[in-house]
Amino acid sequence: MKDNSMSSRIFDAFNCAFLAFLALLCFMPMVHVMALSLSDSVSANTNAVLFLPKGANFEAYKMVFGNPKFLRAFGVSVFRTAVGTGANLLLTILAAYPLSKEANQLRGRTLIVGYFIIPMMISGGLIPMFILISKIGLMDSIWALILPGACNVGYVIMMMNFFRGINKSLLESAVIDGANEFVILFRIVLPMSMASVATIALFCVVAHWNEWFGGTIYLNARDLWPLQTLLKTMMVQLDLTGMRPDEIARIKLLSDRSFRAAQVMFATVPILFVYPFAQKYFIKGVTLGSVKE
Amino acid sequence: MRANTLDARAAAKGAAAGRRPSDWRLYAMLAAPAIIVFIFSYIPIGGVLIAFQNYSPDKGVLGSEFVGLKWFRVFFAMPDSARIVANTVAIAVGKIACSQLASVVFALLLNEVRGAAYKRSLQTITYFPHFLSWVIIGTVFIDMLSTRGLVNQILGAFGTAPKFFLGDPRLFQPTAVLLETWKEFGWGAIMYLAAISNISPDLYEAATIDGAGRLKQALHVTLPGIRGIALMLAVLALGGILNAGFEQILVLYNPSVYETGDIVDTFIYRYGLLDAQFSMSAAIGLFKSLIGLALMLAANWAAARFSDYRVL
Repeated sequence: MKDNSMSSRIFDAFNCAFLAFLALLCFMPMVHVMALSLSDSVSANTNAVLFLPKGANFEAYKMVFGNPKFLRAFGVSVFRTAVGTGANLLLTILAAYPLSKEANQLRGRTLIVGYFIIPMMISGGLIPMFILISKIGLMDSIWALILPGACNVGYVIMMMNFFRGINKSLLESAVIDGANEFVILFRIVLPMSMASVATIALFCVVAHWNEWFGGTIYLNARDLWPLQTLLKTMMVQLDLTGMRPDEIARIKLLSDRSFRAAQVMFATVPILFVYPFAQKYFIKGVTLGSVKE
Repeated sequence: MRANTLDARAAAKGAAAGRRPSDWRLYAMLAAPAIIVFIFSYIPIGGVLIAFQNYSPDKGVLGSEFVGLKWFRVFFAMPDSARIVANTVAIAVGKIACSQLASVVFALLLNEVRGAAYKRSLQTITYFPHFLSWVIIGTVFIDMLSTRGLVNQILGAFGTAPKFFLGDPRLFQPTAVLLETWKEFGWGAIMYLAAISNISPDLYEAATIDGAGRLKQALHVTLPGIRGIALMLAVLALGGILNAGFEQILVLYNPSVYETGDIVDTFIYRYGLLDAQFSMSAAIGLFKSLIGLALMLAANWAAARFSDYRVL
């Protein structure tokens, strides 16, 4: 497979350079935001900042951290991410384990699988969901962000496939030793599946941390807004009907770009922390999730 | 002797499995997930009844007056309806085509990189945007794509007049498609890279012996090796043809680009929740859901037929 001809080397050089350019394209917007967040607002607002901070300072971050609104929203996000991920994992495991059994061990398995799969194919949609949440009194409750998605059937199927890969004879020996299914699940199957649980947990953490739409429709009380919802409502509300580009540019200047950039960094840094050590699990999740049943 | 013990153990296992076909505990485990799915999936599915009613929140789903298909007729009689469906399909198809193509090309090029560490870092960096929410990306790019933002500064250096990416109806759709591609191509490539790593090295060896260079190997070994998965992903994506990316559009669009940027989901959101037109929005939602279901079943059938892959 080694080919060291001239044309091959030239291709390698171009290929590596091109891919590096692509990687930069993915990365530079965040560098730009970081540079803005660390710059003084005059430089930021006069477009003097590209990828390096000008007049470096932490004023914007002081504004974010000095504002109870952001800290509270950060707390709400942490809470919903922790509790939501916990609920997700518990329900996913509880559904996936019985479904990983064969039909002769779980009578009616086909029907039960059907019950869980149908909602993947058809959903009531936004409006019936909204009416449901308001009728059962979850409006203005943090549980409106946690309960509706708590049993994600996609994760259940992933987890079921993980469980099916476990050596059956081990479980059968446990049955002979008198262990019941709860004991088998929590003492034997789960400890063997920690990598898979971690994979799904990471997907849940990212999904909960990033979710913002639920907050904008179910929560009127601003105190309950998670960070992403708060940032959504603070985005520049562009109503540009009939405006000329230069007028819009002036409106953009009025907003403080370095402050906004610091807010973005504030919401993104937690993801950056999870990211490096989580990668192998993410890749595993994508490829194993597609395992044929 | 040892073999006998094992046999006896195996027989006991069989008996144990046969004696207790369905431990009640398995059903107990299923109870909580089943209840959550019932409340938050099946009740809303039943709630689509309001699409056939003059729903009023006071009278409830059971007490409101039935009006048959009135809301479907109202929606399709609206001058906006055809445009909205067309926008949705255009944006969705653009996204599917663009991001799949970018993922395949990226996976093929990455596969040619020889240094393992360089390869891994490239991959890590390119799928990072997948983990950012549209609120974050929207906040960043609304600034970067504004007439005086970073992108127009760079284009300006090449003598291009400032473009109003998110405020010009002609540019909104391509911009939305490109942003989606930017966010997802690295993530999408993971599947293809996994498929490439499953190709037998023998094939490359044989190709080398036959005198195939790297280009020929890529075209005649690697590409056919991922054709199956590419076909499957493309077919499955067709099921989502009315999903043009609600969150992205909701974050990026504004009234001056409704003409090209308004999609079914944003329309439902504005009419349903902001104007409280519950019944009509539910009708549009049902229309979308049924089309999606039909396309998904067809796609599933096609995927099973042409690439021996079963999703369900």
